[in-house]
Parts: sequence; structure tokens; C-alpha cells
Amino acid sequence: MEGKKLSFPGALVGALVGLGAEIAIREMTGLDVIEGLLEIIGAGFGLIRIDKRIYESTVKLLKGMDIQPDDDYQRILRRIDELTVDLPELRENFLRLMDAGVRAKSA
Amino acid sequence: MLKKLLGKPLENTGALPTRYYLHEVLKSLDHDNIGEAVRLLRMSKGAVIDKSRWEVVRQQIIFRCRVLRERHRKHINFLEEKIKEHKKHGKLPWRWFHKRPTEKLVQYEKTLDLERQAQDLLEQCESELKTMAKG
Repeated sequence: MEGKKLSFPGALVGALVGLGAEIAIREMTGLDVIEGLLEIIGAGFGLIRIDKRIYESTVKLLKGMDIQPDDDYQRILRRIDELTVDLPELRENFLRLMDAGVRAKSA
Repeated sequence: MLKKLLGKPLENTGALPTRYYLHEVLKSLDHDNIGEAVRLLRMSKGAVIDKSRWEVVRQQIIFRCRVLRERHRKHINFLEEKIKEHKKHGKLPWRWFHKRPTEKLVQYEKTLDLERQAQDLLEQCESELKTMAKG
């Protein structure tokens, strides 16, 4: 069987055609093909569990808040308010976690 | 496997997907490595699909910065009190016979200096993260 020969100019032309196609698609449809492909590779990297990871990190942050054993619910809420004054999304996540904790305790 | 093979060498190019960086940022945050977390977050492009996740992670780092700064502030107050106390009582004659008082004072001052440096670094990180917010 005859061995295949690799052509450098051929590869260069292929790359240029690919780049041209990417630019044309982006111009016509507004879709970023390369970014989309990277997203798919990202999923391949086993990175689809990011939401679970963010949730775990949120729980860890809440636990690492230097809460005293005698601190009550209201005091902890005030503390969260102080620390997340300009962090609305995180504040909401913390409050949801706290509510879930209280509901689980009272159930 | 792909992550191990391509992740680290390509990390500094900023070409990897946002989620890769977010994972790495959270890993650094777990170890309180705030500087590295900020660096990695800066590298991430912030793809549209992950914009809200990126924002939450950014806020998580800011929050951790604040908690750590608060902790350092308490340490600084404690050390300042100790140094003040040491300087005040160090002049009393009965303190002259205590074991190595100056050594202790130097140790307090060194720790205080380190605590202040850490607090400054955290402050810098926090202000950088605040300006990093993507519109």
C-alpha cells in the first residue's frame, strides 16, 4: 500500500478556507462557529456539571462564614446582607439555601 | 483525560471554554487561592451561555475576599492590642526578667506586617473583580 503524502500548501489552503467559511457564517448568521465548537469540546471535557459545582461552592462559602455557635437566624441574615450588599445573585442563592435548611429542620 | 492533556498547556491562551475556567476558579477558591482564582477568571472569555454562571462565580470570589479580609482584620486588631500591651508592660521592672520579651514583640510585629499585606492583597483582588463585571 502506498503511503500518503502530507501537503503543507494543502493544509494551509484548508485552514484558509475554514477561516473564510467561519467569517462568512458569522457575518451572515451572527453565529460564532468556533466558539460553539469550543463549547462542544467543553462538554467533552466533562465540564457539564458546572451547576452542581457552583452549588457545592456556595454551600462551602456559607459554611466558611465564621458563624458563632450562638448566632441566631436573624444575625446570620444580617451578616449575609452586609457581605453581599452588591452581590444580588449570590445573596439570593444564600437565602434559598438558608430557607431550605430551615424548612428541612422544621420538617 | 482530554482535560489533563489539553487543559493545562492551553490554559494561558484563554482559548478554552468558560466552563473549564470556572471549574478551575472554583478549585482555587476551595483552597482560598484568591490570586489564582482572579487570574483564571480574567482568562475566561465569558461565553453567552455561561454568563450568569460566570457572574455567580465572580460574586463568590468577592464574597470570600470579604470573609477573609474580616478574619485578617480581627487578627490585626488582636496583634495591635498585644503589641500595645507588650510595649506598655515591657517597661515595668518585673517584666525585665521575662523570657525574651523583645523576641516576642518582633514576632508580633512580623505577623502584623504579614496580616496587613494579606489584607491589602485581598482588597486589590476585590477591586479588580468589581471592575471585571461583564456587561
